[in-house]
Amino acid sequence: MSLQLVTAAGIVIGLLYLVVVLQIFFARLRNRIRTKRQLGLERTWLPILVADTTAIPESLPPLRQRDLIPFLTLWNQLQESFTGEITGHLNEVARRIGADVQARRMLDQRSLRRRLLAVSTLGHLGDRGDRDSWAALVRLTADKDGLLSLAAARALTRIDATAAMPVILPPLSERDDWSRNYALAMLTDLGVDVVSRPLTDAALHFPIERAPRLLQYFNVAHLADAMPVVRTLIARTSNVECLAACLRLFADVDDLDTVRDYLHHPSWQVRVQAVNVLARLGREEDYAFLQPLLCDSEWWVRYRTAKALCSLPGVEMSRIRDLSQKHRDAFARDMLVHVLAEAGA
Amino acid sequence: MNVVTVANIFGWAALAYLVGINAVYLVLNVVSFVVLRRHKQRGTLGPLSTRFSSLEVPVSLLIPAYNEEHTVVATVRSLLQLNYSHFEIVVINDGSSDRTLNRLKEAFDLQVFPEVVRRRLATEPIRAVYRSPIYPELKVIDKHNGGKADALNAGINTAQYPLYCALDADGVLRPDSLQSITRPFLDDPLTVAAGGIIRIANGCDVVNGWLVRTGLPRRPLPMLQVVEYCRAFLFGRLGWNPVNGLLVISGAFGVFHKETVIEAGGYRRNTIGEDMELVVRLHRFLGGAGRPYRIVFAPEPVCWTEAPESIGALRTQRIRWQRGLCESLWLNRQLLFSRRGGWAGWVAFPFALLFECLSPVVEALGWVYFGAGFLAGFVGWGFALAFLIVNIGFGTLLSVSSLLLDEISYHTYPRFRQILALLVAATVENLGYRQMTAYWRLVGLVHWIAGTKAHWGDMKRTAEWSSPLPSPQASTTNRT
Amino acid sequence: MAHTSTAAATANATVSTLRDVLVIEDDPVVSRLVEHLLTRRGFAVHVAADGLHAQSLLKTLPRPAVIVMDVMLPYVGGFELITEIRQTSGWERVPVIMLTSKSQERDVLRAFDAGVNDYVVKPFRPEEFVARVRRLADARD
Repeated sequence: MSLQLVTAAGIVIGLLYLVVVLQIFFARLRNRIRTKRQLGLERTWLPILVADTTAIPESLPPLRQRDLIPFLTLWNQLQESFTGEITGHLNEVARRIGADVQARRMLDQRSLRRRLLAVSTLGHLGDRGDRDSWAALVRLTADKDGLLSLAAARALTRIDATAAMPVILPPLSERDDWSRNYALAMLTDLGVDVVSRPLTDAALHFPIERAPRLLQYFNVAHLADAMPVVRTLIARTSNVECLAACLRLFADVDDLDTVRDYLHHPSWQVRVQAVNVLARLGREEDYAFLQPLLCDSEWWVRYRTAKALCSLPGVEMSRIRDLSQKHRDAFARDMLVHVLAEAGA
Repeated sequence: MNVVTVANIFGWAALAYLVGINAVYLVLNVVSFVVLRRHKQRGTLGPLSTRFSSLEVPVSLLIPAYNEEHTVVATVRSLLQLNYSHFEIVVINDGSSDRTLNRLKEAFDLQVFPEVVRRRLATEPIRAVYRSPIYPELKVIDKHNGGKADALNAGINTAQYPLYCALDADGVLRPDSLQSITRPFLDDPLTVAAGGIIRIANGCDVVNGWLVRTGLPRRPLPMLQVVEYCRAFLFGRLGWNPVNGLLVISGAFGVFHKETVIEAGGYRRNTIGEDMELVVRLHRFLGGAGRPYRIVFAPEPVCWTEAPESIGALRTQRIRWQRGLCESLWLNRQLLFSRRGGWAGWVAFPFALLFECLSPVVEALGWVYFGAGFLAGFVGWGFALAFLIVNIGFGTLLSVSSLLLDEISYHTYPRFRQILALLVAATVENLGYRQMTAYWRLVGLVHWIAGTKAHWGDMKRTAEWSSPLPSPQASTTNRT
Repeated sequence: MAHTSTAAATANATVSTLRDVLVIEDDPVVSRLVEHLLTRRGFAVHVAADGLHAQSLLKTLPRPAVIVMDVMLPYVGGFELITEIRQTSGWERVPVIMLTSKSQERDVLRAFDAGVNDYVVKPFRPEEFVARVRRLADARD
């Protein structure tokens, strides 16, 4: 092997080494500059954005291009932290310095950070007249990135809640990658009055395999809208996930007969939900319905049944204690003892 | 073909191999950098996702403890303070011979509880289950000794929640560690396992079981390990994320979907690296069944552990790791090039086999060949120098570039002096330390081969373990 | 519950004496905003980013006029901290305002039991928040 070639390779690696080391120092320097700039930005803009009065000074400092991202980040953080009239003031300032125009431009840029910021900014600005941005946001709800599409949905709900509902319901019922937390936060902020009808209608009319995903948001619906849909769905489906999701929602003693039918369903996920409903709504006569489930093959069913028995109205603890000693099934006895100990009895 | 030609061919092959391994690591570094940048960008609209923290998935923390009387109480105390809305702590005292159980009893006023434990995975018998009247989320299982895997299986049987987190009794967490590591499960429901970044606690300030300030170790040996962790265990693993090829989740801190682990048969007893074995088996089991799944590395710093400070302890650790690695791959060898193996079976597994399992052999033979050959005169200056440049020069470049990644993405060690110390360590790491660990890994490999042969009969007997496909009726015929 | 209006807040907008406020908050954005809001109204703001830091400030800081704190705090939780504050000599009656996020609303009752004087839910109205802090600070004088 030629010595020159090897030496050359060695020199190249040595140079690369130096470049990387310099990069490390450079990265550190850049970090420091960025922090300093961030502080300067806050010193300039916080007094204007969070001012005593809603009046905006005649001359605003110019927003430099390099400050755009930090500014929008700060502005969005303020929007998320505050509520009330100050948000209108924040929007005024943003429009005055042209941040709205910038945000619209950022919508189709490549960087995910810029797109997320743009989407969020447009949502807070809430300009209903801006049809172009609306259309762009609607398109983004179908983006393959789960976070970006959800952020776009969120922005739409902020701009026009009623018009946004039919746009966001299909992806809400279909997309696995939409975080439940984030989606629930969005629906809760919209409020029951806006969400209730469209959500429950969608659960009823969309293909049944999509229903479970919508049912998990039904606590953001009026009972009067939700329960008829739940009753229809439970009668119509044999899908385990859907049955369990429906049972979880029962809140009316009139439905107890329906619930009791599911106590012996072949799937334990369904049985355990039926038991849970009886724990919440059951009456003294459910003692007889529940008791056989103490011998269930699944631990969770036995556990929940024992807990449900303790919570039935008119059932004395002494009766449970008695049962825990006399039951002929060892599994049932063990579970009752366990649950009694948990209850501190 | 004469001896010299064969030797020459070997020399070229060894050189090519070393270029290959370093190049692959470099690629992994670059990929993880891209992953990290994207991850950071996703945090742009941060606060929204934490507002509804009550929807976090409930997690059972499992802490196997064998003779941990000095650390276990502090660990539990700090865990009770985790910023997480819904979790339980299950400490499994695996037949300790010291005062582990007594310390826990005294500290938390433990009382015997008539707990009905689900017997879903076979374990050594449980003596008693304790609960604390002060902290209802704390359970302590006292069982006969059966090893870490057995203790974890007992913990899984007792765990109430859909996710469990395996944690070492001496692991030091941050208040938001659990949030960070469970996020992959929220973001993608197909996630079945997530590992977190493990960093070295030596030199950091730990108060009441919490890490309050990051620092660098003073002693050289742990210091070298800081750089090594960065290169091999952080960026070397994160790079597998986009292709679902992660084969290792450290036993010190990882979160798993409980039902999936039970389906796959739980932790395998009598293995050296039960943590790695489980992850490789999950790939084999889920991939083989054609089920979509994700095993990911959560790119946030979550757990600090104490690194060995003495040569002897480090040697033992590395020999163990190497044996664990070989064993995990061997037991799940069907994954290699299996039809549905995906990236895990077609790239990550061969990579682990070729580069992580066998590299000590090539490296050792390389040193012998080039050293002896140079002295004997049949290896020329150029060839010998080429070997040194690839082995040491390229290796150093790799080490400093992972420091660069760490600086850009985490900025873990903020002081100027620290970065200088790390740079020195990254250079020194390649002048002796790496060769030393390579030698230990070679010893581990040899031990494993010798051990496997000796226990060949045992292997056959326990072969049923390695095909953990329970009959679908299992749950309906047997009571859990 | 306080119904202090913004009118009352603007009526005595100038505060002559500098009064200390201890802010215990782990979210840097929120703590910076709170600091900004209160500094502007003439308070001297001390920030602790976690429970351990707050504990050390209990020993070193002069008694503040008001404490503003989060519920979920790293290392030492909010409720534990309140108990400690109430046991620190001189601090027994320092008014405490808890800043909670929406999901922690169920903690509100527990907070009042623990000795919290008022609470504000995030996201909040800045004027209302400042008014509440001032009301409690004035009540102590």
